[in-house]
Amino acid sequence: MAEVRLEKVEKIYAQDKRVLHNLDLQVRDGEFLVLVGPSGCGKSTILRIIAGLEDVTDGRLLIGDRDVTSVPPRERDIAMVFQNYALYPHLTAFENMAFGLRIRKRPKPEIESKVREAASLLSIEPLLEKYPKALSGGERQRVALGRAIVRDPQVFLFDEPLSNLDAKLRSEMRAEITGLHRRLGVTTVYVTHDQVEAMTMGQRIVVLNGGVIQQIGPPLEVYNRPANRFVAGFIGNPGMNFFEQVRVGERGMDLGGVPVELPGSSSIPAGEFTLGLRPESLSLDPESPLRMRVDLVEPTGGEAFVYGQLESENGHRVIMKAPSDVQAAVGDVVGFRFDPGKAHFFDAVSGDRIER
Amino acid sequence: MTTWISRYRVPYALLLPTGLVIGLVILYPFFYNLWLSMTNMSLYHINDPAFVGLRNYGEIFKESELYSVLGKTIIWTVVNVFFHVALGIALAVLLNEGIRGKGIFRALLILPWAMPQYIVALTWRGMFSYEYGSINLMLTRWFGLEAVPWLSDAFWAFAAATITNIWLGFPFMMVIALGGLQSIPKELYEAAEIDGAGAWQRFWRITLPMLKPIMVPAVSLGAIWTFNNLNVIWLVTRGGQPADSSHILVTYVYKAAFTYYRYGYAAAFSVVIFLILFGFIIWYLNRTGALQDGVAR
Ligand SMILES: Nc1ncnc2c1ncn2[C@@H]1O[C@H](COP(=O)(O)OP(=O)(O)OP(=O)(O)O)[C@@H](O)[C@H]1O
Ligand SMILES: [Mg+2]
Repeated sequence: MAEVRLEKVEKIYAQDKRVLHNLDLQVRDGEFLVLVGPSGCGKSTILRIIAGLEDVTDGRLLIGDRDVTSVPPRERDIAMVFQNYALYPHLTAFENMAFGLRIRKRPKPEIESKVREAASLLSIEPLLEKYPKALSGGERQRVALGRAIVRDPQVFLFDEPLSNLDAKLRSEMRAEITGLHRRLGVTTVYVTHDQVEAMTMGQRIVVLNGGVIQQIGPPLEVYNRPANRFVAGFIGNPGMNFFEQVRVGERGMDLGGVPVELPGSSSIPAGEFTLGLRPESLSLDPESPLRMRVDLVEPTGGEAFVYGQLESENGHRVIMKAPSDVQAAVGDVVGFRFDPGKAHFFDAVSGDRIER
Repeated sequence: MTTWISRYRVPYALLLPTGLVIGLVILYPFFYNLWLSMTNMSLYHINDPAFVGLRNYGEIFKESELYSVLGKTIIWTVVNVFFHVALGIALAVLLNEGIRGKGIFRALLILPWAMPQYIVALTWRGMFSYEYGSINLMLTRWFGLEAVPWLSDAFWAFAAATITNIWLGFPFMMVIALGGLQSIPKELYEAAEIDGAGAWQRFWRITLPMLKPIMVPAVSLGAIWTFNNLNVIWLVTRGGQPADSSHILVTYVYKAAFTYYRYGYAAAFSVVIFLILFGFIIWYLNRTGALQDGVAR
């Protein structure tokens, strides 16, 4: 176990394609850290730099207290689980898991016992003699996990390990992986573009965009106090409602021509901001002067999402999370209100969060 | 009967041309050869061959020549195929790395394969010439070694033919291996690297086993071609010279048939060669599991 530190890391691929710029990141000893961000933001690049599969253009990488910037992958004492498993097709599940130990010339009985132990941890003992092509996706992913576990590495790296699995298996494996982490306590860096995985699995999450870290923090903190508009929009499903050019004054704000009282608005300097409201902080209220025209009602079983447009000159899109028995039909104009305490404000230009 | 014929008329009509060609160029010669092997046809009996049963076969197995020629054929095949595969895979691995000028190297390395064997063999024969050949000139002038009696010594003549044939044969294996290499996913190497494997271990534990399914059929083809390769030995050693010492089975048979005109005897010999090859291939494919399902795991 060890902490991992990236210091001022710079990564420029061929043709001057700069992916990471001056990136500092610290993964604490024993922590489960999730890297999340849209496609192409550099998540895999960071992971592959930690693994040693990519060189850094500039900067340093430390695992424990050791500078491993130019140490080859096999001497870094890390294990990686790939998106498409990368199991050796010509070896049985047992031999796949034993591969690293055999390379390191460990004694036979030790290999045998370690593989059996990992197999029982993942309940894949009956599969050990099978070849990868005879395994299902979930079973393959377990074998790939087993291959990482038997090595007893200092750091686990996961690159979107669940994205090839179906939804049910995915939530099972989520629990399995976090359970493993709790039991083994190995420092883990987990890459995903799925914000549900990020929220449910990470002790801390790192939100990346365009190779730049937007925010680092525990999932709930990131959810409740997004550092900027990008994070606010990326984390949460469905995404946050944004209302541009909302005037905030002494006693409240002006939302599409409707004055809304805002307790504590005095702490915000007067001006125009972007207002952010999570779908779940909206609710139907026939009395409210805020009105929206319903475009679509999407029941999901336990609840329903109501999509609509603000009844005002600029017709902002609004998404509301409502109880499944919501009384709203397409075409209706309904009143709604929101909890002003849960409103987020972002700078109209930089997108940074305005604290109040 | 009539309904059966009318029902399958079209498919059989479509198969007929192929069937005729196969019958004409494969089945007819095969059975003609089988019949020939049981006659005494030779220059003396070219028009009145008589059935002699298995006499030709008896003669073949009594002659000590068979065993020494068979031995040489096996050495010839094993040495050639070994170098074809080893060189082919080694070069394919090099070409598969991101080296500069890859396209040019690939084209150059396939060249030997694209040239007619006949011309290659005669060119090499010229290069092996004792006095004027470029190889001896290089050995003596550049390395200060003694000239090698390439074509006049039994061992060296065989070596000369082998070198020529290795040069001719490696591109095939290289092309096959290159195709195989390109189908190995990159992540396997990355996983192995993280698992602690160095370059050499990655080659032995990932590359070779992953190439096996594609190389097994190629090797069996290569073995058959080499075993039956008449041209190279015949042309480089001028028909098994010196003193018929550098024969493999096919050149020996060829000489029996077309220099000594012992048609019956040569036909029987061909049948023996066929049986040897057939037995070998069945054994090899079984052993490597190529006939079973699941090679391409
Ligand atoms: N070998 C490479 N050469 C050039 N550019 C590359 C290379 N690998 C990645 N990139 C570029 O770097 C950027 C970041 O890639 P990366 O794979 O880290 O993204 P990611 O966040 O993992 O995305 P995804 O969620 O799609 O996997 C992308 O724009 C990609 O095109
Ligand atoms: Mg990626």
